[in-house]
Amino acid sequence: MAVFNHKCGGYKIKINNVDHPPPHCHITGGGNIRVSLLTLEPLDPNQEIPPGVKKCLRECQEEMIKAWDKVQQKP
Amino acid sequence: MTLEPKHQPATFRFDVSGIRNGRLQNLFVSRFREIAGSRPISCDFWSILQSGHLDTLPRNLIVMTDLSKVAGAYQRLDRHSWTRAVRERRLFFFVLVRTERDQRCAGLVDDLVRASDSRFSVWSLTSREEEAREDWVSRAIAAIDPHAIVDIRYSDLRKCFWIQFGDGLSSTLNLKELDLKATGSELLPETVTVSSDDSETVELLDIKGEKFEIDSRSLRALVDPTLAENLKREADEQFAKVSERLRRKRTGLKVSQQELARRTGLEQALISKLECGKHQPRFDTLRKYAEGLGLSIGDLLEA
Repeated sequence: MAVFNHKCGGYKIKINNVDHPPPHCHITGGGNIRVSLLTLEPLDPNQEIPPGVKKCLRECQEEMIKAWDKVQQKP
Repeated sequence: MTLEPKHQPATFRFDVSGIRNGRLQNLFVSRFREIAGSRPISCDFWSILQSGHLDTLPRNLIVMTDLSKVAGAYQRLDRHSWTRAVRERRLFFFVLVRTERDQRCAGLVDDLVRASDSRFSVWSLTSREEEAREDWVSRAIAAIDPHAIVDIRYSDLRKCFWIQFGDGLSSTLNLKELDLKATGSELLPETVTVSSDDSETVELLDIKGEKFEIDSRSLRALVDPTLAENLKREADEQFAKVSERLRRKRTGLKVSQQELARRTGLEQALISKLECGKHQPRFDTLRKYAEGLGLSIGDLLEA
């Protein structure tokens, strides 16, 4: 029921039902990396997106931005 | 009623016996006690691991060890049990590469980091770095994510959640504050739990038994003004970056805001707000904006 769920290699890309702006997804499966859906860059500049996942993010970008419109944003 | 957040340092436990050097062990213990300040308690991680009773491991345990020691233990255990123990017990590994024996295990590091949800920090120990050992211990403690959720429960009597975070901050949040009704889902608050996948997500079930996920930072920001401010700054920075990209793409194609408004049906004021970072773009708006310039959304937002 999560707003968006996608598997990419050994990683999972997901968008929570409730989350904070800016629009972002979480890459889990070896830590938790928050990635902006608009710039496709990590929100935390100290983190890096695993190389194989970048392609998945580009392919899913439109779908994820669309999904984000359903997220209840807090705070 | 919502109680004021309380801040009690989480109780950390440590095990340094995996470092095969008595002098280094003593230095770590001494520094750890100084920094943690919350009466850290030593714990025999390796005996519990050997017994197989991983569910008896204490929470917030910091294991300082040589790489060869932890690599050997990892190979004797199945990966799933290892990951589950790290997640559920909030273990953190602070790993030293000191000897040739450790270097021979270097090929396992990537797998160990992933199996440990990145709660596995590896340090190569040269004599110069040894002088900075006090800094290592500080970093090990800081690496325990303060925003992760340690525990969450629901009180049906008070209709509120009680939450505790990694750094010991605890608070209650009532259902009204969370305003979960706005999601349109019929949720069962009594099913709330910390996600088994990662400790940065809270899960509830709805009446159909499907998972509903809430980000831990969003919850924390409701009781932690500093985090709320940091998240707002993070969002503002992102929107500024996006607005700059939109403006650059439009002007690069020599299309005025008026012309784009005419092509897309979007109001010029909205286009202006988007390009000033004053408006969070929604999918339909971005789609129209991109189509008006003859681009895909991906091309529009690309740096």
